[in-house]
Amino acid sequence: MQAVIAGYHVLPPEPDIPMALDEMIYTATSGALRDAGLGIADVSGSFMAASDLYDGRAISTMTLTGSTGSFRRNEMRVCTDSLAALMLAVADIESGVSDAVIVCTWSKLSDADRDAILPLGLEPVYSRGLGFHPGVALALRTSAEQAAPTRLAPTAVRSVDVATALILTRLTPGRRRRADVVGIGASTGPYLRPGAPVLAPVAKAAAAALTSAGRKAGDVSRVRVAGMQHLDDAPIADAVGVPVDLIARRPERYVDLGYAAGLHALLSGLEPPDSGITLVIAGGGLSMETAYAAVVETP
Amino acid sequence: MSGPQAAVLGFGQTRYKTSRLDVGTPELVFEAVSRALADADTELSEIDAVVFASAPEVFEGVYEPERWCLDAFGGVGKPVIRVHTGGATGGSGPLAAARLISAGVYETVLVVGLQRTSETADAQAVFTTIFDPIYEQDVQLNVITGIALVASRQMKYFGLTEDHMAWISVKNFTNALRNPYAHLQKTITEKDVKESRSLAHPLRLLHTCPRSDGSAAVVMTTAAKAKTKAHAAYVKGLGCAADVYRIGDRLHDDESDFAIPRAQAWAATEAYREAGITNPRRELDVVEVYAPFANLEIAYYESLQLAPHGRGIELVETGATAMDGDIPVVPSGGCMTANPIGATGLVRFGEAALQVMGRAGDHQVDGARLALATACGGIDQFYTAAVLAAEPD
Repeated sequence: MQAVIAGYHVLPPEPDIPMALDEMIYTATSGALRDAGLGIADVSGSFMAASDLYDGRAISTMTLTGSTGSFRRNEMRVCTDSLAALMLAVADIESGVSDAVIVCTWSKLSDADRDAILPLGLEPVYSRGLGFHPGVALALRTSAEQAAPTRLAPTAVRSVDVATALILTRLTPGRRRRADVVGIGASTGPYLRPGAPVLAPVAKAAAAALTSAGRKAGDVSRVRVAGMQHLDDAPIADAVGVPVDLIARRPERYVDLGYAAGLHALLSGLEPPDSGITLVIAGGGLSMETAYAAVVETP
Repeated sequence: MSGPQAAVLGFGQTRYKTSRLDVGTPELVFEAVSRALADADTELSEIDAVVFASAPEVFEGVYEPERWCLDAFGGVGKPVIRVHTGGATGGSGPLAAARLISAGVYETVLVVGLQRTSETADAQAVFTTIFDPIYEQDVQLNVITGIALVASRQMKYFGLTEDHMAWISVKNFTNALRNPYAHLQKTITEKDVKESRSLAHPLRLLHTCPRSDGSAAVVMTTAAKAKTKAHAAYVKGLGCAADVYRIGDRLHDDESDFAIPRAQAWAATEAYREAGITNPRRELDVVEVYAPFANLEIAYYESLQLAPHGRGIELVETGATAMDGDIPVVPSGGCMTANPIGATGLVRFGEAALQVMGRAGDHQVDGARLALATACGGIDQFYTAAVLAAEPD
């Protein structure tokens, strides 16, 4: 597997970016195209990750065909972490359908109420009605895993706005090459049901990505972590099978980047570029039941 | 495509109703998935990944509904990706799965479609949130009024009449009588259509689709693996395209003038190119088009190159798209007789697969070897197209 990140652009996360959503996305996608040395006519599709509820509308992408670059092109949107959008974009390139595509993701939580959204992920009768919360779900699962009550310190996770894009291309001589995506993987754990380690999906996604890259955990020189704000580095390193000092997070750990988290973590490893092989893992959901991973190598 | 060809092994769907009070949402999904796995002669352990297709989660009332349904579709321990491209979601699901298969990322992928519109008190109120809250929502622009505008343009430019639309409604309702899964199963006449309640001129109640609860699922794999199974349909070509949001930007355009959905034409052209189809009218045997309104089906005849520009109504006047015509369109009854929105495109895809496998039961088109399935979303904005064949490349 080899898809090339030819260019990228990150609109740094801020609590309230003073731009319209369209403007935020256009800044990211046009910046990524410029960085790749390509124009909109060079790409054949746009792969997006965005949440309707975070954007406050029923179909968040509907008004955004201009800024996302999907007008008259293939449009694919995932409602899971942006590493899943990257996965579908890689498949488009690897299957020979596309030569170059946009992968973009955003979150505009300044237009929404995060605390009101998260409980909506809970089963509506038995769980939501009891005032259950994702933090409680995680604490209960951790308790079950450790066979002892676990107290999870309430941690304020800040809402931020963010927009990020990259240009993914086939390996083409003479074209810019910021990094290669050489492996992808994903896994899913049970919904609100203990019985498996909380980080089992993360471990499985990471292992799948490394396998698809033909690599082992021992080959990894850096692990970029997206989401999983409530989990410390040590158990994550343990789940992935790397020394804890390889774990890297953004300086502001306690922010909610929404579905943009995975791509943002990946791109944070390009400026300056991580040397060697970087494993990017994104864990999310009510109690870490969804996990996506990518293996990136800088040329 | 340069990688392995993708194929469909099996299709399962639920019975569609306005409100499926007899089952919870995960049970609804289980109903479709268990049928698809049985139809595909495939064990859950053979599934490498799941693509979950469901449109606005406001319909289900649960954020990220795929997690709620994980056990119902056997997603635990597997990669799960949820796709959502509005009404085209059910078409985007198999497209994503086919690309993952052709890229060699996964060998066998389960695609699950879900919509449980009954959980929301007013589906149109949900749809309305897709529009600008200041300029558009208050003037009651919604899907029905938007498509009424399309119909008005078709009347102005291409001679569409109430007779043409009534014929489409009667054709599709008659076809649905042969499909045990259809939501609306009743005999109607053109007089019934013309006397049904006006919704937004010129659209009437019997020109439109119902709102349905339902789920559908398909099992997809490589053509090589499919050849070892008792039956399969092979993916020949796929296309996808999005139009601009603002309807004003689509007017005074020689390609459509808003009367003919141009993004459907772009998506179909791509799928035909991939499939090597040069004369769709002659080469296709059957079409499962996602047309939630009678006038849209006629517009799609042109977008899909089944009729020359402006002459879609001739397929109505000659009866060409009836079950006994030379290019039957929606032999299942289509979207006008069952519309579980996010799953509807997947139903079209699954029905097209059944047709080329020769397993569509009472609504089988004799000798069907090449079929087209489409999906649409937004106000004529998001489109997919898929060509399925009885034989591998």
